[in-house]
Amino acid sequence: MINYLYIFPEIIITSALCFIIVLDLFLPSRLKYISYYLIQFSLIFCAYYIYSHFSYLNTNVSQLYDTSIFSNTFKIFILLSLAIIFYYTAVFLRYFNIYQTEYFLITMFGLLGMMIMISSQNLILLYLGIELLSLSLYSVIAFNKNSLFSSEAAVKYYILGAISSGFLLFGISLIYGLTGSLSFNEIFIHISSLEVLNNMDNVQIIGLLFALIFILISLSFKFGAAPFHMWIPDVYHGSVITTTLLLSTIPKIAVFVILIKLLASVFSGLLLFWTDMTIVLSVLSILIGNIIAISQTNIKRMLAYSTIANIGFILLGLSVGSIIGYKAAMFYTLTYVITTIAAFGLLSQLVYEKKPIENINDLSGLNSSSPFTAFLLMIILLSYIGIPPFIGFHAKLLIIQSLVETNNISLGIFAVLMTVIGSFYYLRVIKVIYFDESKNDLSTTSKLHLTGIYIMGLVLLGLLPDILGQLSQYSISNLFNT
Amino acid sequence: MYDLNIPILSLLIWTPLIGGLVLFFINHKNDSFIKLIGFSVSTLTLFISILLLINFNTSQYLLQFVEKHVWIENLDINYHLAIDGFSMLFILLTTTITSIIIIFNFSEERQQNNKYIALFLILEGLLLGVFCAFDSILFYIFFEAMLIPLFLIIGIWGGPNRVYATIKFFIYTLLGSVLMLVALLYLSFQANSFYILDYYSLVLSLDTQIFIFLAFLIAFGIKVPMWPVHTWLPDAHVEAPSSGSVILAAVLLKVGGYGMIRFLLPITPDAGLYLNNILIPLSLIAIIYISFVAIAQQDMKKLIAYSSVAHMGFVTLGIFLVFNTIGQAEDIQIISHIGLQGSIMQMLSHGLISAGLFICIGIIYSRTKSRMIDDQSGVGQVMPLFSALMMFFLLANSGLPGTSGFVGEFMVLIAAIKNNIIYAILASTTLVLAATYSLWLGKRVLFGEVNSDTVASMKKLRLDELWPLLMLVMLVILIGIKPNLVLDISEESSINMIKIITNKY
Repeated sequence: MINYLYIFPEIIITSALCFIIVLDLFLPSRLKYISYYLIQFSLIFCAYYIYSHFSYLNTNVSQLYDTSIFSNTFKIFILLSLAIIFYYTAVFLRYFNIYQTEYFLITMFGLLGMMIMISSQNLILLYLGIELLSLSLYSVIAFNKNSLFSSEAAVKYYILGAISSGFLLFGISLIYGLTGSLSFNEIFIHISSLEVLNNMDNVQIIGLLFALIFILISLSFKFGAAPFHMWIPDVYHGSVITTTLLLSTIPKIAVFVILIKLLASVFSGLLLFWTDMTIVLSVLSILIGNIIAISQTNIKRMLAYSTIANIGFILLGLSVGSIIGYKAAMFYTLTYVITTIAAFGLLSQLVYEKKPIENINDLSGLNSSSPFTAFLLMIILLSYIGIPPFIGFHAKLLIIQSLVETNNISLGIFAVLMTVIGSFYYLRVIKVIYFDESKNDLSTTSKLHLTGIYIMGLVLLGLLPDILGQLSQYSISNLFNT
Repeated sequence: MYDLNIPILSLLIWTPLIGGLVLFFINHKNDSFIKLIGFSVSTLTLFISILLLINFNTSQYLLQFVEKHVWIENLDINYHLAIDGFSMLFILLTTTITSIIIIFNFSEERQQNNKYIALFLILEGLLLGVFCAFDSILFYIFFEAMLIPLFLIIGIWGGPNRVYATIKFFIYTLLGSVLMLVALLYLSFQANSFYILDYYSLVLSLDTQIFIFLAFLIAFGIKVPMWPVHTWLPDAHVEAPSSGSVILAAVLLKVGGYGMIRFLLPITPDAGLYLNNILIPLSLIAIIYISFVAIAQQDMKKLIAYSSVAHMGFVTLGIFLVFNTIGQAEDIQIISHIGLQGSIMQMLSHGLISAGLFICIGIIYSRTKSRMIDDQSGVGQVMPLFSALMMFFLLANSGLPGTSGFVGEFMVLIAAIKNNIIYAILASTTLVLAATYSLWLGKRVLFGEVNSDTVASMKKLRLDELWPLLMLVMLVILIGIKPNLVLDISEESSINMIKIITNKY
């Protein structure tokens, strides 16, 4: 007997999707806003449903679909983030007259993919989730069909995404061959029974390592960790800014959940090996991200490289290989997503010479034309650098603390030094905003009240970091108790 | 210990912080309204700090006015404020200097004046936070957040090369402080607590101590600044607006010295002893070489900036000399106590004197629009009262007995003589060198014939320019004549600090 109540959140999203697709066809264009509000409502309702059934969903013992507290925390987070992203997207698309409800619906398919990814307890389900997400992202990137950059970005992402899916499938088939199972739980039991430390040269372990490497490569590609980061700057640059906002935030959460589930629990027997792999990935990401960002003039490309550096920090937390590191990594991921939504959301509301913001220099003198916007942007950038008392500081603090407490002090020093290098390109934006001559061609697409409230919330979160800290503590300890 | 029933330290920190934040968003057309708010907030803070002084018990070394609340439960980080003798002095310095700056600002017209004053108030709040925080992460947060207001002050209202100067300043100090963060986290891991005084009782191996020492040294050495990491200071000073220079020289540099006393001395004494053969020469180079550099300057602000580096060399000398007496007889420890107290004295006095000098230069600059020494001559004939005051500060800067500048240098020199006569001889060259650059500056700017129209048409000193200078003059003389007013406050804390270091050995 299948209990459908456990997958009710997914059912809500799917049925909302099907209903709105049909409904939207019959709505005259002046009533299209109805479908937008229905989408927003279904997101919020789904998040509320999960929240109100938290402990009930946690009783699910399915080997296929996991609805534990850990997964559901992330689902709620994704749903709420997506609601905010949709708000910015709607404002942006309406202003530039490219509004189409399909944009939101395609993204909802991606959302479904992410929810499946987060909940999957089986490699094939995981693969399906990733593909559903990727396919909807390809089309969302190509959404602006008048732009050559968009098409180029979509094709690039599509080809590289296909290669990475190939890697993933290859890894999955290797694992199936070696363990005879696709279920996370059985693979975990199988690896634990191998007693890796005593049988280092066991052929099976070498095979599993191969599989792990292939899966890790594929996930790093989705995550955007160097050296698999090549698509990020081009795709970020090519998409419209709200798509960049989408790409750079919630898919990272889903990939992070998968990474932590696979590495920290399924492959925990191979901890010795994958910690080294993640260290290589994170060091490369932080180096490449921070150094190449310095030479960027396009603000989306700059933030793309900053994303790579941030991903490096998340992986640095994972590479610690203990609960304190996972907690730090989760805190960092949530912080990164919250800050990035604020950054791209604010930028998407700025208009320079009747076009969206592209170059850093478009922002010059923002302080004299609209001081409040400049102040908000400065807070976001300072938070990215990791200047206290903003939330970015606490995220970096936790990562470095976890490194120091596990005696990886040299990595900790590397991380803080790269923070200093990274501070340069954020400071350059602050310099452009505050110290340069005003161009007076800047305006906003809409009032910034909501953005202002959102960013004030960000500041508040920085003053009370315990909120996110407790959340990470709660969900990570839930992952390891059950 | 007197007990005040109000959280006076929180009040002290948050009054200027909240006042500043509110002022930041008040875009009032009426400039005097903004100035009035700024003035009342800074005066209120000054009153709170005086209230603090009245209730401060100088006869014991324990922490006073402790406030402790859990802040980040996850990491056991507390909102932990308290003060001891050292903190008390720097709090007074901060509130005094900020009030003076706000008064001095009355005369200046500028764009976005509300933000300008607001940033100074925020900076004041953060500085007070640094001096009150006894949880190391809280300390670090205030320490690093301090960068933001000054970054903006220099960047928005600075001179032509301001962007270069302010980014250099920001990155230099950030580089220093992040390494300190790693050290703090390591210490907290060892001590299992973020409380600073818990670090004091840690027993660390020499190797560990050296790493931690270096991390702190880079952080505070850049802030002080020590030679050879001083190069951001002249740039920042030259480009900063006058009031920015004042707070930079008078208070911000002192954070470095305060941090050294708070962290370097008690936590890593063995490393200090081990590295002293390098550290003391660094201080001596700062004193002698930088003094020569100061002599060669053409820009008044740069000259005073370099003189600040040289004077701070005395501060670090006094602090580092303490390491030399570790494990020695009781009477030598009294000497290092004198050295430590001398360092603190030197910091306070330099805070007052350099504030005075930068205000003087600001006054000249506001009239002639030039900071070059060659462009001015004979200011004394046009503005006699101003020239007398500036000459007083220049003399105090060169360590004239009777002014506060003398006391600190004298005490550090006593400590140096007892340690090593060669240090003392080298350090005492400053008496000649400081007199050279100070008096020569006075001669070229204040005396001589009036040979340019800009100087001849200089306006008389206004009241709001005179008051800050007079207040500073009074303080400098008061401390110069009765140094115990200051020394008594930090006496017990300083004795206790020497004890901690010795017991640890």
